[in-house]
Amino acid sequence: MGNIVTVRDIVDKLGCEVAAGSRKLDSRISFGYSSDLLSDVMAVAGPGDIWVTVQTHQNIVAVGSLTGISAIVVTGGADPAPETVSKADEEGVPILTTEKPSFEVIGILYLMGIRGRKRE
Amino acid sequence: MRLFWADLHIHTALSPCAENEMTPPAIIKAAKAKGLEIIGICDHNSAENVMAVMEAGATEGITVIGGIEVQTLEDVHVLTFFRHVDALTCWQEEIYAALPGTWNDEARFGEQLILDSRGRITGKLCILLLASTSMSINYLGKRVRELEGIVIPAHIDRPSFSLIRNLGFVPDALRPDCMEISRNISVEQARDRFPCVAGFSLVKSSDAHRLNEISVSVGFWIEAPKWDEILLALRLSDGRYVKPEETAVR
Repeated sequence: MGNIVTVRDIVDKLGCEVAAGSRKLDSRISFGYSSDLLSDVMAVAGPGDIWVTVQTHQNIVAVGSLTGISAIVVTGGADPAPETVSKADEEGVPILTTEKPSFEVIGILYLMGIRGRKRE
Repeated sequence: MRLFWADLHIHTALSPCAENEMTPPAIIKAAKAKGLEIIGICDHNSAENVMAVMEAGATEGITVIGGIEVQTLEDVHVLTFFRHVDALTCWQEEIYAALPGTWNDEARFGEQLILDSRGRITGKLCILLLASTSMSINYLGKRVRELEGIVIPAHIDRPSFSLIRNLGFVPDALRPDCMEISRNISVEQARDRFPCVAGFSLVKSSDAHRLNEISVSVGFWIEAPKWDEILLALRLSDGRYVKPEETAVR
C-alpha cells in the first residue's frame, strides 16, 4: 500500500513554521520539486507537489496556485514578504518556513517517501 | 522630431566583469563612432563613474543618462535611471547599504575602477558589486518611483538574472516604465515568447562590457535628447516613441 503524506506530516517532520495557508494542511503530496527560478517551476511542477525554494517574492503564490501544488517550503531562514503571506492566505496556498537549507529539507522529504517530479 | 539613436545599457570599468578599456572617454568615442547620440551608463549596483562619463559626453555632444543596474533580492537585474544626479547618488547609498558588503577579490572577479572624465584611475571600489541587494523588486519599484526615476527590467529574454526567468511574469506591483531585450532577440520574437510583456514598450540594449559591443540599439523619436522627451518616448506618449534596432544578432 502506498504511503500517504500530507502537508501536515511535513510540518511535523521538519518542525517548520506555517506562515500561510494553515487551512490547507490536509492536502496530499504527489511529488516534490525544487527550483528558485519561477519560470522553471511553472514549466515542471504539477498538482499536489511540495515545492522547495528560497524565493520569497509574491509571485511564488501565483505560480503555486497555477501549478496546483500542495505547499511551498521556503528554506534557509528566508522571510516571505508580508504581501506574499497575505496573498497565500487568500489563495489557500500553504507556505512553510524553515531555517534548514533546501538540501537538508529535500533529504528529509525523500526519506519520507516523496520522489521528484520529472520534466515531461 | 527626429530619430536619436541610443544604447541605454553600457557598463564602465567599475563593473568587475567589464573590461578596463571601458573608460569614460573611450566609451564616448566608441558611441560617437557608432552614431549614437544618447547613451545610458549602468554599472552593477553603483554609479561611481556616471558623472565622469557625463563630463566626457558633454564635450562631444553625447547625452548621458545616469543609472544603476540593480540586482534585487530575487537575483533580477533592473535598470534604474534618474533625472538628477542627487537622486542617483541617494539611490546609490541605499544600494550600498543593502549589499552584503563582502570584499572584492580582484583576482577572481576583476577590478572595480573609479575613473575621471579623462580616463585616469582615481580609485578602486572595495565592496564587491556583483551581489544581490536585500531589496525586493517590489520595494525597488516603489522606491525608484518616489525618487522620480525610471524602472526597466533588464534583458528579460536572458536565461539568468532576468525578471521573466526568475519570477515567471511581471509582478502587478512593479509597474515598470519599459522592458529591455537583449541583442539576441527581435521585438517580434520577444512579444511572441513572452506574452506578459504586452502593453509595455520595449528597448533593446547592448549591455556592453567591452568597447566593440557598444552599438546602435534603440531609436528615440523625440524633439531633443532630454530627460522629459526620453520619458515620453518610453511611455509612447505625445507622438514620441522608441524603436528597437531590428537586425538582431543571432
